[in-house]
Amino acid sequence: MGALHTAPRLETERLILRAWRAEDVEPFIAMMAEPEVAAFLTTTQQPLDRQAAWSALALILGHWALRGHGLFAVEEKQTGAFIGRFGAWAPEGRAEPELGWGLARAAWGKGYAVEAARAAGDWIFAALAPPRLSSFIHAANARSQALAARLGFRAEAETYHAGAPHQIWRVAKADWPR
Amino acid sequence: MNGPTLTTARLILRPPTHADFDDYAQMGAEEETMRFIGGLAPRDASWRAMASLAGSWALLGYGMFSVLRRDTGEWIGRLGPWRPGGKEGGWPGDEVGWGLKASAMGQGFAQEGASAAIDWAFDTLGWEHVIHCIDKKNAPSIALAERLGSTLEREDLTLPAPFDAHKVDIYGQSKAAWRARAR
Repeated sequence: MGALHTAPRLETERLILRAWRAEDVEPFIAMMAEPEVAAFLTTTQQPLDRQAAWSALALILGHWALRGHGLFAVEEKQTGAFIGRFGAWAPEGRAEPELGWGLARAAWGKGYAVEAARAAGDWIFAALAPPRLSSFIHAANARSQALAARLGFRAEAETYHAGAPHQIWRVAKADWPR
Repeated sequence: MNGPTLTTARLILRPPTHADFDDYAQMGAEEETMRFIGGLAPRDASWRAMASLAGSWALLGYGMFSVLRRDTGEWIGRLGPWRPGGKEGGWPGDEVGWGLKASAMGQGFAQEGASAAIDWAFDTLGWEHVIHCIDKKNAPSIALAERLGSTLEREDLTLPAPFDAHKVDIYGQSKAAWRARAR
């Protein structure tokens, strides 16, 4: 099936970051219903039902339509399976783009997050040329904090975001690993 | 952006683009306009709402259009086919909805645009029935639904979040009834 929008295709050793396709809709809905994924990825910290997950995906695709960039669908090369969404997140009101990440539970523990996040971050710095990237991370989300640290981000501030305490992590272009 | 451009006597209907956003956000700040269509929306909420319309076009191949006046090019609102979640979701049916900014109301623009959108939905999307989800207290919208030939079908429905703040009544009509009406 064809892409639902225009986006570059990024390849890493084991992953493909690409435009969303119709066949990604069901695995995305399934991913957003996983309690461990939803705990730090949704504004309610609760799993999303089908309708809410669809709306979240409509927002991701609308972000591509309005901004010309956004969160890529991530595919595992070996299986072709959809495993998550990584990329730029810059809705109205954000001073700098966020590097967003989110991986389906079955794809955890394989080093995919750092692999996909590096590719997405490389692309954002090259294509959008922001002076730095941010990441809003739930105060209790130790896994994401570890990933951010590994990517060169530093925790710079605390804020209340999506109804919960969050840390704002940032990385300048000069500190981005290459 | 995928999607058609429809032209009526006075209007252009096309999928929303980033250039529409300031106007969209301005409409979101009009209390009277927004009372029955989600409430006052700050800029960031307006952006998410407009992105959701654009996302619907990408996911379903349809969504609400931006409405522009042909004579001035002015953006005056958004209307059109709308079923967030698609067929498998919780929306009560295939809707054509509308919302125009205050300065564009009372001139028949909503009826003109909605008629073109309903024609397009029946002709192109294969819909057999169209509905309009309207707050019981929204008299101007109910009057427009009735002018379009739709009748009250269901009452006091709660729409799926994030559209669940107020209950709505459902007005609607079949494709056959729409096509049988002389317009």
